[in-house]
Amino acid sequence: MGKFSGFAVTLRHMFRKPVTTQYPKEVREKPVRFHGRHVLNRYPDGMEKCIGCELCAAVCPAKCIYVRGKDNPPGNPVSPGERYGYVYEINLLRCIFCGLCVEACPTTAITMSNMFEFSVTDRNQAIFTKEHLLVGEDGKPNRKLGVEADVTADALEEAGGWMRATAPGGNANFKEEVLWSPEAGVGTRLPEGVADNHPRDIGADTRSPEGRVEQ
Amino acid sequence: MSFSAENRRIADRIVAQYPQSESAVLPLLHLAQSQDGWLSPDGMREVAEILGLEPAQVFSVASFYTMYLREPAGKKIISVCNNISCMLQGSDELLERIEHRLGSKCGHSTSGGEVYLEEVECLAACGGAPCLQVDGEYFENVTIEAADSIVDSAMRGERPEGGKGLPSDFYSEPLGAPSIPEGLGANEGEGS
Amino acid sequence: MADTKASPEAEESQASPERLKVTIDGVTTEVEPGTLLIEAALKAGKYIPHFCWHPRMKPVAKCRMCLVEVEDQRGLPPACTTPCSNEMVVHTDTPIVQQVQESVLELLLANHPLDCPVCDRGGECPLQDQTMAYGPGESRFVEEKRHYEKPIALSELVLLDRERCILCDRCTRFADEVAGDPLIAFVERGNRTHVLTFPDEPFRSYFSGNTIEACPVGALTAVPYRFKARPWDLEEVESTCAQCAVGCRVKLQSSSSRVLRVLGVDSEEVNQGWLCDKGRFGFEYLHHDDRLTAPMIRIDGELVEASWGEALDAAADGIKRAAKEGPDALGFLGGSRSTTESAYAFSKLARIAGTNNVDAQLGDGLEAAFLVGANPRASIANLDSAAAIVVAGPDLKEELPVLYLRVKQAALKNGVPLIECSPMQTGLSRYAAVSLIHRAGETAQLLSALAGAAQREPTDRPPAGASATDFQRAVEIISEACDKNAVVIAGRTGLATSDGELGASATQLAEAIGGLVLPVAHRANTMGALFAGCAPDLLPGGSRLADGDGGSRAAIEKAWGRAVPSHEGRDASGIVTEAARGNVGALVLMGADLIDDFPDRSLGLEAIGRTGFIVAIDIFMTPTAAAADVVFPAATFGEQSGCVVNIEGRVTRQVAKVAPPGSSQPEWYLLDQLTSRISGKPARWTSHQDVFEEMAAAAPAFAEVTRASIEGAKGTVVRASDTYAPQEIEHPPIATDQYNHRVIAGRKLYGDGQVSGRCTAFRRIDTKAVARLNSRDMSRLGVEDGVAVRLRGARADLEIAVMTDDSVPEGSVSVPFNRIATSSGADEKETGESALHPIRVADLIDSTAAVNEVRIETLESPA
Repeated sequence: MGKFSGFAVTLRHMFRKPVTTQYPKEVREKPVRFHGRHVLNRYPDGMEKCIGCELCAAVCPAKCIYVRGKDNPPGNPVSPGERYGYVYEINLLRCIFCGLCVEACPTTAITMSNMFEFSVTDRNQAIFTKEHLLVGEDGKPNRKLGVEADVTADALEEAGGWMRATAPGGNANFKEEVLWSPEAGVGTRLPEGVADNHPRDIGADTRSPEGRVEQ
Repeated sequence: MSFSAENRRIADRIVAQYPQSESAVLPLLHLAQSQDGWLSPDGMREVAEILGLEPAQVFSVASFYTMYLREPAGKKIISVCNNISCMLQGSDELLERIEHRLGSKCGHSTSGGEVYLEEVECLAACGGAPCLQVDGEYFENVTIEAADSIVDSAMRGERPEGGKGLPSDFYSEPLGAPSIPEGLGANEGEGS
Repeated sequence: MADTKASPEAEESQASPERLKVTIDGVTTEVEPGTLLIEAALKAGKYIPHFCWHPRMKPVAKCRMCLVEVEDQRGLPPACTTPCSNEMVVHTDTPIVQQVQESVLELLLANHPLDCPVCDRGGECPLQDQTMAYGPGESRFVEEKRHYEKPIALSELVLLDRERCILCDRCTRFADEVAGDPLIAFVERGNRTHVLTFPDEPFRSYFSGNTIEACPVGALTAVPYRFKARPWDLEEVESTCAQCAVGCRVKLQSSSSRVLRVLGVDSEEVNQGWLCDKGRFGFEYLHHDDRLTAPMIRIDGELVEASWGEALDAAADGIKRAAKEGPDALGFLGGSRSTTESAYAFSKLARIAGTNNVDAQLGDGLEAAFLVGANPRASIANLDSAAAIVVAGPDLKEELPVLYLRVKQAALKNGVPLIECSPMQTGLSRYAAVSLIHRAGETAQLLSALAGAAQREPTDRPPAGASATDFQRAVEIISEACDKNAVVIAGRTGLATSDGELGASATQLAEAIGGLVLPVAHRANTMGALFAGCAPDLLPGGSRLADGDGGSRAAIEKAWGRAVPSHEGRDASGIVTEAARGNVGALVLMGADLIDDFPDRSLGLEAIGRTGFIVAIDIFMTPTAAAADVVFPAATFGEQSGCVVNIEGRVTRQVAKVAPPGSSQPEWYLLDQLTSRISGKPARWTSHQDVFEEMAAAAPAFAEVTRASIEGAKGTVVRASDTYAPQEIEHPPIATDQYNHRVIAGRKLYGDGQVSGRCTAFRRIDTKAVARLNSRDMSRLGVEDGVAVRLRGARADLEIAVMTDDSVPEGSVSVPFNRIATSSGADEKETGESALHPIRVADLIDSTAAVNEVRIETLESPA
């Protein structure tokens, strides 16, 4: 080996195509299980999925979630059932993006999107409130924060798939048809009254035994 | 509702028979039901007041037993047994026939409020199956034709022919106690 | 436990040396005969899962969760109804027991909705916990569960979700056995069984909140706590309730510096785990927007916010100015709503300012010397084993509800004969062996007559219009109970009567029958304030001021570095009467509202109007505070730590949990600052413990009371240095006018005072005042229920709706003191004062009279 042998690796890489991408001009495809910032989802009828149960806040190892529930107004309910998430705040400076909140959620109200660009100029801005987190009626995340304005619509189409990786009840053989649109935010629920063999989205109606997955 | 003077006298006599006045709940509820034709909330309140109980306690007892009607019913009550002996002897057809004749379904009253029809568990008259009761009076070995005539007289508000007599122990009084005065049974209240 | 220990039979068997040996899962333990297996297991350190069994209620074995295997016995008996027998060998975790537990849970869950994420009980639910610990993990039930309307309101305070109910019978048993209000019961049967009230008759029990705490699932939930927080959000401290003088132990739970829930603590000495609904739900005022947040001083006739320095200077100047005119130009009222430390600071300030005119009671209690020095004094637990109980006081159910439960339990469960001496029937009447109903204001005469009769002094006729047969029966009972620890409960019977000699008569009766006295007071820390010296004739520690140069006086003067004034002080009535004459230069009011919380409202208004300088220390802008010259915002229950003293003299700790609003301070702090400005010496205290230590050093009675000894539920019982020994009692004759009705003015549990009026939970409860009259009086007047009449009193007229109530004797009229009496036919002409302050019953009352009488006039019917 000559004295140049130490440069072999360097030289070899000089002639390779660079791996660096021109972010933010070029956006790399995210893996399906990417842990981006949270979104709060809705049912297709526009009802919020969050019931304000605070399990996400309880399980959060960083204690970055603050939730308070409230009685659903009887005339104009916000979510199915008695209770809805009245206050929902996540301090993203504290969040470690572990995704335990997603696993704890009994209604799949909170999921993680692939959005990751949320640099802020003020610490207070890093506290995302329900207004920021809740998806719109169309199922698209709210991108009110200026810093997220560059997210392309295509980029949103990738989220949501990972959460089915964990089977309910920890059953490894669990195979559920993914009735979950690849689009962030909105799950597919079959219309009421349709006799079906499809297991519903688990969170569709916590009170209905039909939503249970039989093994 | 409040008890008529006569019924109030009976109520007092019933209460006096028990060492603990609470024991008189069942007979007093029967008495209240016989006066109104059904057990109204006011009737339960009255019973509670007489016995020094809370209405909720009386309500608890009254709702446990199916023989207390907590909805207004017809003036006459026809109860058809549906248990095995009667069923083998054709109580299903009997019931169907009575429903047809009355023009109202089991568990309901006729449109004019004359008769309330109900299906009951064993009436303890298997020897005379199929059997039914009209206001507590037994009718045994009831044929379709007999049923028609029973229904017709009940619709007219009369006491049907062929019964085994009015019940004398309607108020579940202990043995040896003075029984209900002659003729005072479930039928007496219907005019009130 | 309570069951077996309390009953006389159990005591007998306790006396026998025989103890049973029981082996539970290999652990052998010795128990009393009659002990239930489930209790023995707890003693042996084995937890047997259960839902329906509750240590304070009769076992029913409804839930079947506690089935255990007993060797040489067929089947699996429920541990909660099986008494131990000698040499019993029990297994609680064999495969068969486990299998049964799994099946029971699977069945209990067959109809349970599993809406745990929504349920208020989720996270602290016994069903959840035991399903995790003993459940099968998976259910075979795939059928539709039964459905009921989700939550229905059982009352203004309690919601019921019947889907979640597992029919354990705890709430219904509590309502029947413990509270004595069986307003909820199981209805229907089989699969449709559920708990319900009678249609349109809500669960209006004063103790309804306990069913929520007892419920092993989330079937019963509290309206005020609904969806406010989840159990893991809550931080808790153990404290003592500040709603009345029973001093129940509570757990105070808060989240984000807001008190969200109050739960009971099982303290055998005091509340046995139960709370009244006022104690449980009456905390919302803490966070009301009306709370005072900054000191205020009056500038040009307007109260404006000021800095603490300015306000303290202004207050000190005003007090000093008035003090120059002698001790009687000063008046200090209040202290019974705060901690003993703050009351001590208040008493000290009064004495440093040079006066003995200090009173914690607002003319609505009994003699201070009796309250602190009652001798021999009973404890609440003495009631359980008393030979007889004589109740001569307010309606305990309305004013001291948890004491009512204890008296009721003694009468009903332990068979203690109960003699009630009251101007009208009360909540206890149905449990009383004898109800001596008599003319209002003459209770003392009746007690003295009973004492006389017990000592074989024949009476030809019982006084105060009591029935001769009832009196005779009562005499028989107390003669039987002589020298066997009978308890005489004595308290003010009403606010319209002065009850001047009641303390003395009660002591006389207790002496005559060799019994004990339990004096009762109204406000939470009245006893603490009196023990701290907030009474004209008492020094801290309950020693008599008049006894001159005794040791306690010297100790106090040493601690204060000042001589204690020796003039004869005035009590609240005296101070207010003098103030109304314009003879008081400065009034210092600590949680004392002379307008809405003083028995004589016209006198209070006059006193406020004619006093030159008023300092108010309060939590709300009460009508009195609004008329003050300096207002200080105070920290209150849950916001300041300190100790309180209950009716038995038991000292327990109140603990701060949340921050007071704005710059509110504990009273002792600002009083120390005031004292320092008046005495010219530097302020001494930086924490409530400093105050406590000074108090303990100054007052010999507190020598036993150390910070360690008042930790926990049991606390320490303090005894006054000087016991109460009444002089010869003379009962002044009371004239009765045949045409008048005697006024009985008691307090109701739910009023619309400054505090409970600001609790959202109680707003839904109807607190409209009505006058109650005997049906014969009603027919004599020719009025019907709901009709407004005019009560013509010595002080004012009051228009109020009447209602028939035969628990009021003929010739009396009962009016609730703490409710606003606005009748539909209110006279618009009288608006001057009443527009500012709604008309109250206190307007009627002349507190200087021994009794108050009114003439009842019917109103002309509107044409």
